[in-house]
Amino acid sequence: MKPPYLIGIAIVSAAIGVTSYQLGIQNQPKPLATKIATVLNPPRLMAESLLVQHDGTPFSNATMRDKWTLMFFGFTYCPDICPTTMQSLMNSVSKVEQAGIENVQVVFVSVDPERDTPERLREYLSHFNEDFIGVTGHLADIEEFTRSIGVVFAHHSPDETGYYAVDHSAVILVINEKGEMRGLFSAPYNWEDIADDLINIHG
Amino acid sequence: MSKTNSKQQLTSLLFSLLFACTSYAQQSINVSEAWVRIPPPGMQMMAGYGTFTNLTGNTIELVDAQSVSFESVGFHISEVVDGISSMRKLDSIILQPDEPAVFEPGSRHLMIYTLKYDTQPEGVQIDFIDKLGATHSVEFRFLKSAPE
Repeated sequence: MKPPYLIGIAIVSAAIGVTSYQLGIQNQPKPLATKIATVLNPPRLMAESLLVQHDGTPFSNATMRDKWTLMFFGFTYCPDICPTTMQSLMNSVSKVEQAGIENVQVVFVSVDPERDTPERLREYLSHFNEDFIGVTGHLADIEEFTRSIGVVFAHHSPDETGYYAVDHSAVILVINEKGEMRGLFSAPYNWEDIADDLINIHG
Repeated sequence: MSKTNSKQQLTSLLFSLLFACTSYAQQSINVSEAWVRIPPPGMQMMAGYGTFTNLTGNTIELVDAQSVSFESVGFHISEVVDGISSMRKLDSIILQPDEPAVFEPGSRHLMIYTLKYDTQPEGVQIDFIDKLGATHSVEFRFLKSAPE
């Protein structure tokens, strides 16, 4: 038969264990209730890149510090999905700003650097919002950057007119003010849900 | 019957036939909310959208599209499969009676190359040719985003 003091120690230890477990659960961040966004817990660090912005300055994690960034991948010669998404982001940002959140920016990363020069990106994005940032660079550097964050793309062969399309991930990344990937929107998405979820994630 | 009368009758018959064909083509398809997205500056590619309704009791297959305002017009579809967005050409569009065919952003659309004018007009006409050779003309408006 075990001495009574051992039984007492066992009971106290069990009580401490249960309490610690419960405290642990309480300290974990509650999952955010989003409409369409996938939230990453914990946030994921973004790799540095050798890409450039449409104004010629380097694109780095510093570009994303102190701001919340919506990052989309596409090409300016895309007549349907890309302008539709940029239009959606334009509307989303407008709604988010109306909600009092001013530090949101949109970054469009080209997966077609041969046609998407910095000047072309500037022209293209100004059609939607003068503040949108275009990012391009050498194809190998774009491949390295996109691979590091799980985004893929593939160029088609040119048709009889010389036009070629580019298949690409239809994803919008949400990057927080520390430059970490905080979540993502997978297609199909609409601008109102993007705005509502971003307001929620931003907190 | 004189030769002149025969010629007149033949000409009249041809005009009647032509008018009948045109009327048939004009009334056989309706496209509501037909619009072309205003392209960003310097961009020569654009997409057109609308809801096609076949007003006849027969299937209509559209096999070609053209416009005097553009270098070329074709049928395309955008799809997202396993998270990847892609676009491919469609050879034709089949319009079943009473089954509207929706062309909308992120799905089926008209792939349009190069406006021929320096100044963008308010609207353009696009002609759709069906498998039987009839032409269906539709007016499209230039808009920055889908009509509300």
